[in-house]
Amino acid sequence: MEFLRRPFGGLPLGYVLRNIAVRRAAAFFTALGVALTVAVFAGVISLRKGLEQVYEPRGDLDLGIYLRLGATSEGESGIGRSQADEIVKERPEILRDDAGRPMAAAESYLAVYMEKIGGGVTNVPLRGVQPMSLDIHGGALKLVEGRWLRFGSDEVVVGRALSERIRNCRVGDTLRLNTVPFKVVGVFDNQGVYGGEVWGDVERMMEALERPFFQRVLARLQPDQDLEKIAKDLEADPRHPCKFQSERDYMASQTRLLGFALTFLALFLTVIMGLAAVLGAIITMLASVAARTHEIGVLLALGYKREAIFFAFLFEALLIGLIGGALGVLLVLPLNGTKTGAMNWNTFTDISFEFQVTPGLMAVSVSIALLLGIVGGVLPALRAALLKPVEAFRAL
Amino acid sequence: MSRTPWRLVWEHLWAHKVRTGLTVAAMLVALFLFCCLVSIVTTVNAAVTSAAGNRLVVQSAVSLFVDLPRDYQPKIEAVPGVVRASKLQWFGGYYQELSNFFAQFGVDHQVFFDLYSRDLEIVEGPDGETGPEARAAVEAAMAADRRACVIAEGLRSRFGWGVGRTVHLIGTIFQKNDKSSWEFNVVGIYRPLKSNVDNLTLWMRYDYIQEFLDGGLATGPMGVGVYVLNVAEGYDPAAVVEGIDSQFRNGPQVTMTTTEAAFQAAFVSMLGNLPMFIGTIGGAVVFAVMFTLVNTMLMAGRQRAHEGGILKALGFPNGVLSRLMVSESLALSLLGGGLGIALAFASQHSMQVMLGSYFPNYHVEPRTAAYGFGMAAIIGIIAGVTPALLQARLRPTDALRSEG
Repeated sequence: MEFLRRPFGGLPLGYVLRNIAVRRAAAFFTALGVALTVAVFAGVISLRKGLEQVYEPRGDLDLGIYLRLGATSEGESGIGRSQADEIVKERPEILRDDAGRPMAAAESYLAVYMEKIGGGVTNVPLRGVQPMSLDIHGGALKLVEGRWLRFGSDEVVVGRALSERIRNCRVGDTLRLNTVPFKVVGVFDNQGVYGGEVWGDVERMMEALERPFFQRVLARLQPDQDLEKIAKDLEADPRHPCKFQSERDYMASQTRLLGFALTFLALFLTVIMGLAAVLGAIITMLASVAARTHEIGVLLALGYKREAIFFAFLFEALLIGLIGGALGVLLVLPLNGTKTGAMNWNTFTDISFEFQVTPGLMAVSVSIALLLGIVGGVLPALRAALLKPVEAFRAL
Repeated sequence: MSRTPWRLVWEHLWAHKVRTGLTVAAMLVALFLFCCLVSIVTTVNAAVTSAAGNRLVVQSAVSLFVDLPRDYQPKIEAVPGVVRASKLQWFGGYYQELSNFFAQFGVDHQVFFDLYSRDLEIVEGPDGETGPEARAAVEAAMAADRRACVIAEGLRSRFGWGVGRTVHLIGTIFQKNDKSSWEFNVVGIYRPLKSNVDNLTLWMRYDYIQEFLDGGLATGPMGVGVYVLNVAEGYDPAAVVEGIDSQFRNGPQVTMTTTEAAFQAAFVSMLGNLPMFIGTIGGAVVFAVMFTLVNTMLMAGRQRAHEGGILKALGFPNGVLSRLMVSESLALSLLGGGLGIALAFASQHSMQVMLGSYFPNYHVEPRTAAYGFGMAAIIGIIAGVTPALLQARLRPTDALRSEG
């Protein structure tokens, strides 16, 4: 307890707190500089976390994706009907359901123009699915409004993330695809990418869009498969080579560009803004030292150690950093859960996601604030500790 | 006693070298960042504002990824007011690594250079021609070689490709059946004149790809992504748009014809909230540094209470004191801000390299610099006025009594 009250070589904790209180305006402005730096960092990283969450694969399912050889995303892929049939019926790694049917579906995918509710146009993923698609995803899809589509008719269901941001995406609305009107009959929820898509019967989609081919085959896989070997075999398949990936790998590859850009942006901004904040902290602390030169002289004359004075000033800077960090986190906290949209440069489609301010991110943010405080405090604290007692004593 | 003792400003800035240096540095960093962020937004928007007014883009009304049939071209060309229609087909290949991403388009080489004569300039021809002859030489070389292509200066500096070089691209959308890469011979180098053409594009002959597709030697979309065309003088673009779209209203693919500006604006709109995010961050940066400067000036003001008392006792009015304070603050903010803006200009090239393919046309506009300088001035004034007001409230006797 004694240490807590007088942690700085005998200097009371109250001494540091009083110093901050006396120069509260300066301390507050410095802390604000730190807070804004931390807030920008946390804001951008929370975007990336939100993006990652959308593309987070579900751990409990082993899903495989078959694309055209050389395609880097569904949009670039194309698989003919005969090849798709062959994959679905013949691939041994595909799991079969209770009725003995292969749990695989050939799907079409196209990014179509849609109007945003706030104005402007964006690319929304339109997926043609087969009845088996719904079984493959199982519990990951939840109907929240209306009903599922009837296969064979011109109906679509819409992901919930879309229905709030895109026009004509509510139950009862009509979506016009090329020349054919489709009726929106339901809204479904999915934590991943599918929650931002429009789904319809693949056969009806191919006809309406005049695109008579699939983009991928999605399958649930038997457990414990050697995925790398399957991929190699399929690539070298003499009849119909194709590209095979686990859904996990596929999803990870789809956020490469945007995820990288956000990380880059966060680091770039934090380093530069951090620099400005550190400069601010140094200015404040130097002034604090300068104003107390006489006082430091008295302390030294009283026999307080230089280390004590060094740590007292460093702690003052640290406290300012802490206040800034806490303020910064408070600034971004209201963003948590806010929905936003961005262009995924890998797929060239709009993705809807939420800012994710996680406890881990908050901890990192506060640590950065503390670091800024320390870096800003070291020099001034050194200057204070190295003052010559007699001269400092004389200064007024 | 009404002359303002400007010398004091200089003396103060000089007396606190460390503080002056740190404050200038903080302003420098902030204005640099501000200019960079604003420049990203202006770069994105520049593509819209510099689009040619008499150029139309015909695309599928459904999706950017749906192709229009090739037989649309004669029908489009037959619409009154249409001159020079060219295919513009995204090739989507890459050089060696997926990360070496840049745009490649297949075009109708016979009309392409006429269509874009005001948007790009040929700076080097097949035999090293420069100046006005270069374009004619490139057109002739394109006509003579099916595999010919023209590349941007930016590609030359990025990959070291020059005229005469054969470029191997791996196709993602168009793939040869024999799995070999596509080969294109560089016959010319262009420089963009406007922001709607980027500095990292390769233009190739569409009919070369078409040969492979029609001959069954390659797979890929048989149609065309978009058609670009010019509207002849004296024709109303709106009427031309209607003339084109009405032909295809019942399919097989419904078209959406727009001006090039609207086409580019749609791309910007697809970036979503990006400009807003960047704007918010830019605002936060400016705000943060304003606090730093206000802080510095508050401190300077406090240390100057004694001096203020002397000046007041000597009969200087409050206005003079305030003017000194604001001048000092402005000197700090404009010096730091000016350096930051200069750094933003100086770093344009490195930023272009860092931002890579996202913003190939990144550049700092003079307007942005002026805006930044104005911002620095406002920050300087605010930071100077705050302590000046505090100082004005001091009574000379109290001020004189206070320790510096």
